[in-house]
Amino acid sequence: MTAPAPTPARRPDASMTLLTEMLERPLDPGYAAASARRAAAGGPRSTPVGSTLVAVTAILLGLLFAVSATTVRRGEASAGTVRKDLISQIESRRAVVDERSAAIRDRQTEITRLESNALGATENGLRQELQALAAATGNVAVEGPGLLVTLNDKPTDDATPTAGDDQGKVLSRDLFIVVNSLWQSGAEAIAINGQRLTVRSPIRFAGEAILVNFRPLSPPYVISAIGDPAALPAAFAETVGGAYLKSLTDNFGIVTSVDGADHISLPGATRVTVDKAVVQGGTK
Amino acid sequence: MIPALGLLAGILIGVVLQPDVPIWLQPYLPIAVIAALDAVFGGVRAVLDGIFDDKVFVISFLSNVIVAALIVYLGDQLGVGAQLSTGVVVVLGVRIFSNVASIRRHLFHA
Repeated sequence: MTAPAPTPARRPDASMTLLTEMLERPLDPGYAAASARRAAAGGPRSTPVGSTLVAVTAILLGLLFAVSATTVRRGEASAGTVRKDLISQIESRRAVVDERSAAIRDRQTEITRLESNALGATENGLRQELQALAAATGNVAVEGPGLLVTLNDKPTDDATPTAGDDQGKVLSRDLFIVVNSLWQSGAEAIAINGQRLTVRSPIRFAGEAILVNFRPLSPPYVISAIGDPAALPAAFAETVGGAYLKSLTDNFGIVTSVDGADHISLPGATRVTVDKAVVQGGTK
Repeated sequence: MIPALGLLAGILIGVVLQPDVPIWLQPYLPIAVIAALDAVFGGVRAVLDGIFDDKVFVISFLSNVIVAALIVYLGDQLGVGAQLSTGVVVVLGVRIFSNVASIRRHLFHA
């Protein structure tokens, strides 16, 4: 057994040699080495070849800086134009959809008129049945007394809401809890911001927007429900939806209101026809 | 003098020609700029220290740019491109600051 050889005293910052090296000797050690070599050999300070190399390198450097700057600037500019282009595309497509929806409604009104003409005055019972069915399926515009439930995002102070701050935003879940409660309390026809709910109406959440009938809606969300004005408000207040609205206001600051209305008119839905589904046992 | 003229000439060429950088090369540009800046400030400091050497300057510039690009490429392949780029920027940034501080001491004696 021999005593271990005495180790040289460790520097207190021995574990940080990388940092020390980086901070204390930022200059490439090659410069010092080359300088020492030159001093030893007695060579000239610079050669024509070396100067040319330096000049070429300098040109390369300038090129690199200029190209980087222009590339970054161009990238920003093109991102802006792409964004604008997308927005204008969205707007034009939306306009097309609105136009076609209006056309569909016109046609539906015409169909209803032609139907009642064709049935004539004699087939009164049939005509009434048809109208009742159309109203129930959401195929035609209807009107009547009912309830207006309004939900709006929590008001924010700053004009540009920060991303991720969606505590006070109305979610699709909020809408379908309210809608389900309205059906439960006896509503006969419901529309959200003018989108009539039918048996084929989804309420979806896509990104930041709530989609009803595949159309994005923007707050405030007004749910109009036609139903018995005497019974509907009280019945709605007793359902899950009534309590849920209050908790939304208390916990998340969402602005809600429930108002009775003497006269509500709801548009007809634009998409209720079925293609593949046929009545069981019947013919298409 | 010659390097300064060369730098100006390079910038002018770049601005006038506005060459299209292929898309796969674009991620390497920022890191290459940082590496080049490091080489430039190292060279300026070496001039002021009186130990400038053509060969060392050229090689340090080329190797800096190539190694920086290699690190970014490797990082991209491994899926940690952003972190590795940050590492490169930190190391080169510290060196640039130290070299600039040294240049400042030489020029202004402060």
